[in-house]
Amino acid sequence: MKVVIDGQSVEAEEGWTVLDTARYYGVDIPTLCHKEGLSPYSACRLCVVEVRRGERSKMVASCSCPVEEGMQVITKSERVLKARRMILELMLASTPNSKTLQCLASKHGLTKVRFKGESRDCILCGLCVRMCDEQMMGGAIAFAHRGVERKVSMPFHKTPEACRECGACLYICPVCELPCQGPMEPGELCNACLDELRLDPFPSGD
Amino acid sequence: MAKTAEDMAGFVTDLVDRHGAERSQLSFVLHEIQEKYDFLPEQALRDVARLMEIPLTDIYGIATFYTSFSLSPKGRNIVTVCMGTACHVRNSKGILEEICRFLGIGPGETTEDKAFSLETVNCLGACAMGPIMVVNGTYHGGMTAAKVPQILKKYEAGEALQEEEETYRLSSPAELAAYREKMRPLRYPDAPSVSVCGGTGCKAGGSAEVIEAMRLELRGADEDGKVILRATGCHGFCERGPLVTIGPDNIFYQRVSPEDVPEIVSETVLNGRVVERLLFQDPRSEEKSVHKEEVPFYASQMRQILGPNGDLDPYEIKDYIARGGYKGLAKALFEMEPEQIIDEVDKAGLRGRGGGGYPAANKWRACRQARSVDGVKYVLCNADEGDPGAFMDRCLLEGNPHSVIEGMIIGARAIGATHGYIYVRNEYPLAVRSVIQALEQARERGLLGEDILGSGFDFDVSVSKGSGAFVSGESTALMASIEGRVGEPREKYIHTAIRGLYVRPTNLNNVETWANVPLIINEGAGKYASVGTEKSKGTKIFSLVGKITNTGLVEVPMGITLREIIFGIGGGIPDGKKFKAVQTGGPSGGCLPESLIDTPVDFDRLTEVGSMMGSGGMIVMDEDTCMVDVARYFLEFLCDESCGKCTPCREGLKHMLDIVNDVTEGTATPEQLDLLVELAEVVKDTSLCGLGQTAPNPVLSTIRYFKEEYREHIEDKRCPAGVCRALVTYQIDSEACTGCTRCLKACPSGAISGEKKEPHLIDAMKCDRCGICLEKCEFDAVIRK
Repeated sequence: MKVVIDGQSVEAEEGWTVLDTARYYGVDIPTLCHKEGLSPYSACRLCVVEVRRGERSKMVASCSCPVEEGMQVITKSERVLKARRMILELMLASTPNSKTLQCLASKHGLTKVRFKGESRDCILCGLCVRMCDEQMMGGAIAFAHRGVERKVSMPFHKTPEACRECGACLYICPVCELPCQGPMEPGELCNACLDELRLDPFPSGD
Repeated sequence: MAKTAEDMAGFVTDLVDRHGAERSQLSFVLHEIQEKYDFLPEQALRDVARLMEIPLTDIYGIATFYTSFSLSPKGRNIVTVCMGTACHVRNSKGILEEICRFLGIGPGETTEDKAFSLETVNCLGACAMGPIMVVNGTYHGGMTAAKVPQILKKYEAGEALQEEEETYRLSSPAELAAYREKMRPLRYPDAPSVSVCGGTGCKAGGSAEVIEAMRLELRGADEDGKVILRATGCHGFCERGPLVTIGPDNIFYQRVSPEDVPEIVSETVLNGRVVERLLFQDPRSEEKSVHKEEVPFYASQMRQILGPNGDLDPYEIKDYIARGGYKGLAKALFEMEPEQIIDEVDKAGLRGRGGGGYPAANKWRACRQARSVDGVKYVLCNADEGDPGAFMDRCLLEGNPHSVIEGMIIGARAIGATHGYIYVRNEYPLAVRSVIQALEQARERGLLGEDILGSGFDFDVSVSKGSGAFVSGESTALMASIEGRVGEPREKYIHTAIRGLYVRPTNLNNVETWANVPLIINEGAGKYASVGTEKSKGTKIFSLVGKITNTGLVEVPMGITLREIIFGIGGGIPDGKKFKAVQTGGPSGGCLPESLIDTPVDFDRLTEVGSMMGSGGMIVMDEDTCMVDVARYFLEFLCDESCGKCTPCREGLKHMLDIVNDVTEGTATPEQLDLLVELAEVVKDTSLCGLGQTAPNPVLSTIRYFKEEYREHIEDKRCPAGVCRALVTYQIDSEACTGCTRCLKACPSGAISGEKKEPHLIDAMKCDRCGICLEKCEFDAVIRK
C-alpha cells in the first residue's frame, strides 16, 4: 500500500507499523520502550508522529500504529518535536544520569530542565519485563503499584523461583549503563555533543 | 499458628474449586480472601498462584495496582473518608486532616494498637450527604472537622453502632414470595401503597430504620395486607431524604424519621389525610407541595429513565414486568431484524452517556460487521462509575437493574453477541447485589440464557467486579480487568469493536446508555428523538451536587441550559452566596464561569466551551471555592488514579501538580504558569489513553476562565476565596469576641489564648489554619483573611 512519510510517497506492507515503515526507508524516529522482538508497548511516547487526514491531524505512537492506505505521516513537525522535547525533559527530570537520555536531549536541542529534579534510575520503559516474559519465558518480574508509585518489582521483594538469573533484564535496560559523564548543575544538561547531534528542528516541507 | 496456615490453605483451595481456575475468576478469588482476612496474606497469594497456574508476579502486580486490596493487616475499625469532588468543595480535606491528627496516622496507615485504619476513597457516590466519613460501613453524613473526635472516641470505646444491616427486603424470602405471588395481578392497585427510598443517600439519612418501622407499623395496622410497601431505589432528591411516597396519588413526604411512621400510616395510608409538617416547603415561595409532581425539584425534570426508580422494588422482577418491562425485548426478538434494531437506535440519535458521546449505532454496526474467529462476540456494560461526584449509574443499577439488562439483551441481539459482562465498581456493593439478583430472576423466567422467550436466541450476562481503579473505566483497561489482568489501557488503533475482550469483537456502552435502549425500541425512534437538540437526543441524568440548595439526581431533556438546572431545579446557591462556577465532566471536564451559565446541555456545546458532558457529574461552586484549589484537587485525583504506564501522564501530571501546588502556596512565578500550560498541551497531545488525554482539562479550563485568580495567587500572594492555607490568616475580632472559650478548647494546635469572658487571641506562629475556630465561633468573631 502507499503511504506518505514526510512528503515522500513510499510502499508499505500490510501489517507494518508506522515505525517499521519509517525505519525501512531510513527515516529516524527515536524510541525508548521499543525493541524488535518484543511486543509494542506504546508507553514512552517518544516515537509520536503526526498523522494527517485532510484538515484533521492527530498524534499517534508510531511503534504500535498500523499503516493504512494513503496515510500521511509527518515525523518532524513542530508539534512533534515540541512534544518529544517535553517528554525528554520530563524523563530527565526524574532520571538525569542516563546517558541515553542525555544524548537524546542533545539531539533534540534540549538544553535545560525546568522541572523539579529527582534521581531515579528507572524510566519504566518495561523492556526488562517484556524481555523476561517474552524472550526468556521467565515471568519473574512485573510492574507493581500504579501511577507515580509504579515500579518494576519482584513479588514481595523476593527473587521468585521463576528467575534464572540470566541477566537479560540488565542487558536490555537503557539506563543501567555508565552514567553520563558531563559536568552538570541541577536543572542543567550535559549537552557535550549538542552541535554534532542536533537535528534540524524545521526540516524543509513543513 | 500451624492450624491457621492449614485453615488458610484449605480456604484458598475451596475458593479456587468454587470459582474455577479460569483467570477471569481471579478478582473474585482475591476479593473473597480480602474479605475474610481483611488483607491479602502472602501465603494465600502463593497458593492462588499455584492453584490457578498464574505467575505470582502477575498476582502481585494486581494486588498492588487496585486500592481494594491490601498487603498488610488492617485495624479493627476502618475509617474511610470520601475525597470526591462534592465532598472536597465541602471541606473533606479539613476533615481528613483532623482525623489524621486525632489518630496520629496518615491515609493508608493503621494505628499501632490496630484500633483504626484510615483510608480515603475517590467518591462513594453519596455526594448529597457530603462530606462523608464511613466507619465500618456506617455512613456519617454532613461531617465537620469539629465532629471528628466525638465520633471516633465512640468507636475507640467499642460502643459504636453495629454495622447497619441492609434491610432492603422486608421479610423472609418465602413469605415475600408467597405474598407477591398472591398479589401479582395487584402489584399496582388503586389501594394505598408506600414507597420508601432505599438509595445510598437516603440510607445515610437513616431510611433503613424508616423502612423497618413502616413494616412493623403496617403489620399491625393493615391486617388484610392490602397495602404494598416497597423499598425502592433512589428517588433523586437526596437533599431531603429519607423520602416516602404514598400511592396511588403520590403524596410526597420528605425528611421522614421512624417517629413519623405511625402518623403516616394512620393518617395518610389508612385515611387519605395529608400530614402537613412532612410536606416539602419551597424555601423561596414558602409554598407547600402535596404531590410529588408538584415539588419544584421534580416539576421541571423529564424523568423517563430515572422515573420508574420510585415505583419499583429493584429486587422484584414482577414490578418491572408489570410496568411494561421486557416488552421492548419481545419486540426486538420477534418483530425486528437485527439491522432494523441498529437502524432504530441510529434514527433515535442515541449517543454514549459515559462521557465521549460517540453514536451508539455506529459502534453496534462496526461490531456486528466484525468477524469473529469462533463466532463469539461480547457486549459489555461499563458500571465502573469512577467520576467523583457522579452517581447516576449506581442509582440505576440499584433501583432499576432490569432496564439495563433488557437494553443489553436487545443490543446483543442486534450485534449478534453471545455473552455479556457488567463491570461494576467494588465501591458499589448494593449495585453488585441488585444486579446479580436481577440476572438470576431474568434467567429463571427465560429472559436470559438459552432460547430467550422461545426465540432461539442465546445470550447470558455475568458480573465482573472492579477493584478500585478509576482508569479501569477506560475501555481497553476494563477489558484487561475482566480478563483478570492489571487494568491498564493499551493502544486501540484497532478498535475494540473488532478486537476487544479476549481478542473478540466487543461492544461497550455505559449503564445509562443501555437503560435508554428499551425506551427507544418500545416507543420508537421518532418519539425518542423528539426530545433534545439537533445532535444530542433524549434526556441526560446529572448528579447535581456541591454548593447547591437541592442536591440530588436530576434528569433533564438535552438542550436545557445550565442556568435552568442550577437555579430552577437546583434552587440556586444556599446561604445567600454567589454562584462562581460549575464543573461538568469530572476529572476530564472543565469549570465553566457565570458568563457561560446559559450554555445548553449538549455534547458538542459543552466541548466547545472547554468542558464536556462526561458521565453527568455537575458540581456547583460558590464564591468560597478557590478555582486553583479545584484544579489542584483534580490533579491530585488524577495522579492517584493514573496507571503510570505512559510518560506524559505519569510524569507530566506529577509536575503539573507540583506547579499548581506552588501556586496555592504563593511560591510560583509567572513563568511557571506558562510552563504549566505548555506541559498541559503536551500531556493532552501525547498520552496513551483517554485519562491522560483529558486530564489537563480542569487546569486548562480554570486558567482560561479564572486566570485573574491564578494571577492573584502568584503576584499578590492572596487567595481571594480564602481556601489556600498558606495564603490565609485567622484573627479574632476583639469587639465581637465574648470570651466564651469554645474556640480555645477546640483549637487542635493550642494557638488560641485568653481568659474567660475576655477577648481571645490567635498566635499566628502556632496557628495551623485549620479553620475549626471559625466553625466553632457563634459570634462571628473569627475572621479569615
